[in-house]
Amino acid sequence: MSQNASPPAALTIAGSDSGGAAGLQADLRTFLTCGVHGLVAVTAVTVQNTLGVHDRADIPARIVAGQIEAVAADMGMQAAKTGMLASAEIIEAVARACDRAEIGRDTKVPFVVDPVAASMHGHPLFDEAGLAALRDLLLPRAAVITPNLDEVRLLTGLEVTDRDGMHDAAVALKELGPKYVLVKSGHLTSDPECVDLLYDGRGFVELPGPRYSTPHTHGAGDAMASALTAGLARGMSVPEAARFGKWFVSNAVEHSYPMGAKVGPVSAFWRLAPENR
Amino acid sequence: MTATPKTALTVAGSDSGGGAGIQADLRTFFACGVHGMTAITAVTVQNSLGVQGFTEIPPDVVVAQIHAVAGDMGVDAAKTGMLATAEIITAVAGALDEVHIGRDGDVPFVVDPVAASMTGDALLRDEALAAIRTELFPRATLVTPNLDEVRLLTGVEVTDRDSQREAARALLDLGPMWVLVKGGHLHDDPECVDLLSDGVQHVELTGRRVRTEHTHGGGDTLASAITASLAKGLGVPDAVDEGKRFVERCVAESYPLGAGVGPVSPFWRLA
Repeated sequence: MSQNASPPAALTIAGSDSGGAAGLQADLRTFLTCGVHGLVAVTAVTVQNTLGVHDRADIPARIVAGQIEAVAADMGMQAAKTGMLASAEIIEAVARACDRAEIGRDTKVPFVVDPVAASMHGHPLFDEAGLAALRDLLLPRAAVITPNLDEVRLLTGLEVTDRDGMHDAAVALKELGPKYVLVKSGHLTSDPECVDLLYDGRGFVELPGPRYSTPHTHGAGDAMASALTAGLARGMSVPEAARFGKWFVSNAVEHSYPMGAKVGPVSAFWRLAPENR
Repeated sequence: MTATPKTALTVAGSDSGGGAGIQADLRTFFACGVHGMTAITAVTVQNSLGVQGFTEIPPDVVVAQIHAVAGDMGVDAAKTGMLATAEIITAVAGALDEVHIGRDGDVPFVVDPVAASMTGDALLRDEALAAIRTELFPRATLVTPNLDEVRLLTGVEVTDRDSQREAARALLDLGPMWVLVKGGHLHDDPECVDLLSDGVQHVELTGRRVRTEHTHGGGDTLASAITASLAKGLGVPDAVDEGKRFVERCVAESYPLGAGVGPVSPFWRLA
């Protein structure tokens, strides 16, 4: 009887992107290419392509919680992350399920909160109650949160226009309770580089990277947060995993490809053996 | 920036445990160099011990997912997995016609008629089984039932190679272009011989049987690897041959995870 070694496992709590670029699809693909078995709690099913999100079916909160508890109880996980959580009711159910499954805060399972609150185009994805639940129930249990600048604005009211503004945003976000804050600079298009900022309440660490001119960046934020999560699942510290995530997403954007009429996806195909691409 | 890869669409359910369903399809498409797209039909609460609950997606949202990706991104091949209800099956069949997916359209279509669980229990009601027969099979380029599904769909109990041929004929009578009758559950056969037939050609595909209990997602992985090869332009016999070699390696590399049945693995495709 063959008995191969089990890889580490990571859970994503997120929505589905029918176009396969972002959401749980990006997370699972990133986990796979980082040698991590992906588990999933689907929160919503979107009707989506390269033009945007056209419709959405939210999953009942008890089914979202059921998925988290079923995989935690039987299969176990070494890290978890969130993506789009759809509604305040789902966020509340996720917070309770994470308590029961011992995910986040001071448990053994580090929790990455990618506070997906705005679409590709910067539009809010949910109402003020959803934002409040995200702030109050999820950010305090996070090992690290990974907002983009639209999400910084929705969560703190701060409008970031330069690197100094990113420092202010990191300090404001740390007040909301996560152990680390990673402010992503992808939307700071006036900056010729793409320097993300990691902050733990004591010191700032800059994560430098190139800025690519491609329009095809769909799924970049998910790829960054899920590579970071995979790094944590493999035993890295938050700063190590953040650097790994930054390296991963830079490569993913560099290898992005056109597809459909508008914004094509970042790529993970460069992780395959050359003969399998 | 790199070249745009071929695309494949899976119309199927989500497995929270990540071993089967759209998760197995997407990772297989990816591992075969194909961009995967999804129309989710149901979300299951599942781990290595089985399915503990599920919710269905409204048929109009299933249909809208198919239209959104076909209209904008394009589909080079498509497959189905668990379709949950007769209502969803009928809606999917109509949507596939509209975007020219299927044996009479431009895009090859693989029907993996997921109707029985790992343990052989029926997952679908009788009206859903009837809809698979009358709505999906006549549109299929290829159907890939396992032996439990053959029994549920045709009444033929496959116990040896003669009854495997009888099953192939019964399935072809339902209208698909090709049928692949798997030998995976025939545990007394030392080899794993699948039969591929279009009614004229009968191809026996011999493979090695790997001794492992961790085969969760094996059926999905075979069907999605075949779909990936069809997306890349291979003919059905070559695509099936490629798919079978892919899934054999995935089964050989399967791993334990949880207290029950662990998943087959595509990790060997990574650099």
